[in-house]
Amino acid sequence: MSNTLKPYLNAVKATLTAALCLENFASQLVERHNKPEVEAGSTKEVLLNSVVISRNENEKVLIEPSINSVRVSIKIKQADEIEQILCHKFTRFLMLRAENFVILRKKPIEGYSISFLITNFHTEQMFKHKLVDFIIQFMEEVDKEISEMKLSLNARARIVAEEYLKQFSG
Amino acid sequence: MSVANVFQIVKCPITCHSFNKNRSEVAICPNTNEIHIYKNKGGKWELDSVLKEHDKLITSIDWAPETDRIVSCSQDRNAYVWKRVGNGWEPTLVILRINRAATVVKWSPQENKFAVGTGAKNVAVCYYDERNNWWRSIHINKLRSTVLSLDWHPDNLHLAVGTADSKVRVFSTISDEAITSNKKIKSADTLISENKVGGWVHGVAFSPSGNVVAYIGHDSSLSFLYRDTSEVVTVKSKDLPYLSLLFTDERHVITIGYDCCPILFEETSPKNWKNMGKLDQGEKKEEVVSNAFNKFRQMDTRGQENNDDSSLPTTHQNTINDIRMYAGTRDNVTSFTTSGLDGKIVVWEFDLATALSKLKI
Repeated sequence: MSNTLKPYLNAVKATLTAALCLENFASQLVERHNKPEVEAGSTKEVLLNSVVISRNENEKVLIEPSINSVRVSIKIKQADEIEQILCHKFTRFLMLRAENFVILRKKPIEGYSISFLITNFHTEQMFKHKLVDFIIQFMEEVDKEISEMKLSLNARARIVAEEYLKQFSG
Repeated sequence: MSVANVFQIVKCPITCHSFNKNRSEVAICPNTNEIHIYKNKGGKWELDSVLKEHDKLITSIDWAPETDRIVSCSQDRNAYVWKRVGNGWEPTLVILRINRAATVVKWSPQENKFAVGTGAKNVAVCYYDERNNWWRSIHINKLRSTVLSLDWHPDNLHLAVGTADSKVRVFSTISDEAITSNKKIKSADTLISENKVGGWVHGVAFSPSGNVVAYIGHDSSLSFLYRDTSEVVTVKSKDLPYLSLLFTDERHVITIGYDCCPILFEETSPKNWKNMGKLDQGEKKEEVVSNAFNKFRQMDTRGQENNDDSSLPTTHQNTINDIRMYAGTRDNVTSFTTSGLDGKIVVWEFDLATALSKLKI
C-alpha cells in the first residue's frame, strides 16, 4: 500500500464508523412511510453535513449521513480514456446487479463513479464494522482491478496487432 | 463489574424491552409488529404469549409494575394498553389523534397516565376515560420535529421531551386533580424550559430527586440541566453517540449506545460530571497461533487468508438501544438490564464501589 493511500483509507474508515450510527426513523412527512431520509431529503433536521474525503482531484469519497441512512459515493481513479471506459463498464456491471449487492445504489451520484446506500435495516442485519470493512476493501481492490484489466487489455491488443501484421510481413 | 446473565432471546434485533414487577416476565419487540412475552421458567426464557394488534413496527413498550398493564406504541400511528385477562392479554384502544408514527411511550410514576411521543411533532398525554372505556389524549403541540425520547418527573406532572430538531423541553402536563374532577381539559403544554443540544436528542431522564434533567445529544454529549439555577453542564466524549441513559443514584448515570457497552458517569464534585469509563471492559481475544495448517484450513473453508473473527470483544455484539432498572430502588440501582440489535437481553449486576475501583485501575 502506498504512503498516501493508508491515511486516506483511515480517514474514510473513521468517518464511516461515526456516520453509521443509524436508527429506525419513520417519515414525519408521509403517513406510514419509512424511507431513507438522505434520499428523500425533505426533512432538513435529520440530515447531517456531508463530508468529502479527497486523495487528489481524481479520487474522492462523499459521505452523506442522516438519521436512518448513509450514502457513500466513490470516485474511482481514471487517468486516461482506457481507464475511463474500463471503470464505466465495471461499475455498470455491478450496478446492473445492485439487488444482489444489497447496499449498492443503482445509480451513482453525479460526479462519482459508484454509490452505496446503507440504511438502518442493513446495520440491523449485518455487523457495522464489517460493512465499513467491505467499503474499505472495495476501495482498495477496485483500483487494482482496473489497472489489471488495463494491463491485460494492452497485452491482448499487442498480440492481436502482431497476429494481424504477420500476414503483411510474411 | 460482572455480567450476571446473558439471554440470547431472539436472533433478530430487539427494539425495546420491559420487565414486569417481579421480573418473571419480559415483553420484547423482535423488530416486527408483534409483542412477545417471555416467561422465566427455571432460568430459561420461554415464549408465553404473542400480542398482535399493531400492523407496523413497534417502537416502544412500557410495563407498569403496580397496575400490571403494558402500553405499546407503533409506527402504525396507534397505541394500545394491554390488560391481563385470564392467561391472555386484552388490548384497549388509545385515542391518540395523530397521523404519523408513534415513537416512544412511557407510564407516569403513578401509572394513571402515560405520554406518547410522535412523528407528528407532538406528544400525546393520555389518561383513562371511564365513561367510554378508552384512553383519551391531550396534545403538547409546541414542538418542531419528531419526538425521540421522553421521561416523567417523579412528581407525576412534569415531562421532559427530546426531539430530532436538537432541543430538549420540559413541560407541565395535566394534573391528577384535572383527571379526577372530570372537567374538560383544555391544554397540557405549559413550557417550563427549552434548551439547545448539539444533535438529535436520543435520550432524556430525570434524576431520582427530579432536580436534574440529563439528556443525550447525537454529538456524543451528555448534558445536565439543573432545576434551581437553569445551569447546563455538558460532558463531551470520544465515544460513538449514546442512545439511552439511566440514573443509578443522584450522582451516577449509565449510558448505552453505538459503542455496544455501558459507560458510567459520575458527579465528582457539585455540577462537575466526569466520564469514568466503560463498564464492560471486554475480554481480549486469544491470539490464534498462526501456523501453516490453520492458514490453509482458513483458505479452504472460508476463502480467506487471515483468521477473521467478526465478533466484538464486548458482551453485546451490536448497538444497545434500551436500558432499564432491574433491581434496587430508583435512587440506588443495584442491577440493570440492556437490550440491543443483537437480540440479547443482558442483566448487569451493578455495585458502585467495585465498579469504580475496577475503572480506576
